[in-house]
Amino acid sequence: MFSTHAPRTAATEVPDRFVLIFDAPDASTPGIAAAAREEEVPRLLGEQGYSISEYFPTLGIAVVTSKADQLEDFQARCAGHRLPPAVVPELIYRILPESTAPKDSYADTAQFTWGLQAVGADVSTLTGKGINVAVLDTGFDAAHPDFAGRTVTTKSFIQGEDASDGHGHGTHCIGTSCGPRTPKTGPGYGVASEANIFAGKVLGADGSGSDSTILAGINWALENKCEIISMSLGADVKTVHPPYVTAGRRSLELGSLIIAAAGNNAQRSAGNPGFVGAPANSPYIMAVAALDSQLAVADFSAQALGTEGGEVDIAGPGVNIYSSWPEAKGYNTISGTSMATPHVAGVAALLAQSSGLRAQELWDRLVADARDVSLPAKDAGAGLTQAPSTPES
Amino acid sequence: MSSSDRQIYVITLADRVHPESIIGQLQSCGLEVKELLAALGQIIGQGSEQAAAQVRALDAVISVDAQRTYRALGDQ
Repeated sequence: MFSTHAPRTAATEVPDRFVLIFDAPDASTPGIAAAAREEEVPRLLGEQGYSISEYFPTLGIAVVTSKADQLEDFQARCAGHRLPPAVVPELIYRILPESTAPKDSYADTAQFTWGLQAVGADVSTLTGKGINVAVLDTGFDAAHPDFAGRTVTTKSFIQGEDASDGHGHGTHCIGTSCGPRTPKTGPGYGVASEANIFAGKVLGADGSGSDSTILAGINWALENKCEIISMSLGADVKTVHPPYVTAGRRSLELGSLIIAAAGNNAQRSAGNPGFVGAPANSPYIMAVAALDSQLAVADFSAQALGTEGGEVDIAGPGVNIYSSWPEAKGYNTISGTSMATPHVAGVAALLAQSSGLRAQELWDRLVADARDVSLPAKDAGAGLTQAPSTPES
Repeated sequence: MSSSDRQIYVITLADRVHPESIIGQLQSCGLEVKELLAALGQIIGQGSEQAAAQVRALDAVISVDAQRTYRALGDQ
């Protein structure tokens, strides 16, 4: 008997066409004699009515046109002559498609922002559904039409201000991390487009906040079991602020990953690489650098400090990022490590959905999956964050 | 003591110390408790540097840090 079930390959089988291999059945057995290959095999082929125009005596291989039952009969006859052939279906082969090497230059299109393309969210079937993402920022324009029907929880920690966004920064960051991929107008700009949004207002309308508001926001996110906490905020101080060492560690223990902007204190074009500020310089908080659309490190993006926790851990798109904006303006294009951070947070939500990983394991996987963009680790950490394309089985 | 001498502090507690259990001790040190962050094991309080120094000496306390300010990190 023979099987027409060839190993799975990209090639397809040709109907009623078979390759017959006259050779030793395994490497430990001597091959058949040259005389048999050159005389006996073509004779048997001819007697069976097969053409010998596609028999290659040097190889001991023939390609024949045959019905399956005829071939079985032929195999039996050959076995009687101690020349049993191996039989496999003939396959059609095609030129391999061009390598789909990742691009090193991106631009906004009508369908997607360059940032979504660069992290692979444009081709991901994952949406972050079921994952709670907290964005601790300047609040959120929950009435923005692009977020109609979404699950949104808001809370203000700023005295005298409600949870609405009087600045714009928070709505922009939430747009990047959790906004739509197919809005009614303009390009898709949100990575985790079905994640549950927790908008904690920890920075006021002036764009500033304090430990008491930010830590209260983290505490609130933990109480709400947010798997991801995105913080596009910072202070330009080199010293690690102890409250965030504990906050980062305890968040990981409770299943949450805090992702924070590395800082915008560099001016690389003037020879100043800057430094990772607080709270991103906590060893238990993931620090995010910003890349431009050519995948170069942004001029403003802070470099690693050289101390524990002061590393840049990963990078995201952070220059000329289009996203949602409050009220009449609707949308805005801005830059900062603030914009890179929600890209990573959104990818983290997709990965949390896909893999079930949380906290430190999620951190490790994000770093492992990052794309090497040939930048020093002190500038871009493990590289450009990359979204999983499909659910893990 | 003027109000300008009173700062906001973040009090970080040792593992497994519940914030509510230490309120009395903090108040005895002269610290006004503003907010309990139970999930984080931290307390936001206000008081003088002298009060903060006394709180630092408590066994249940890991650190007492004067509050810092932060800002949004876009647009560049």
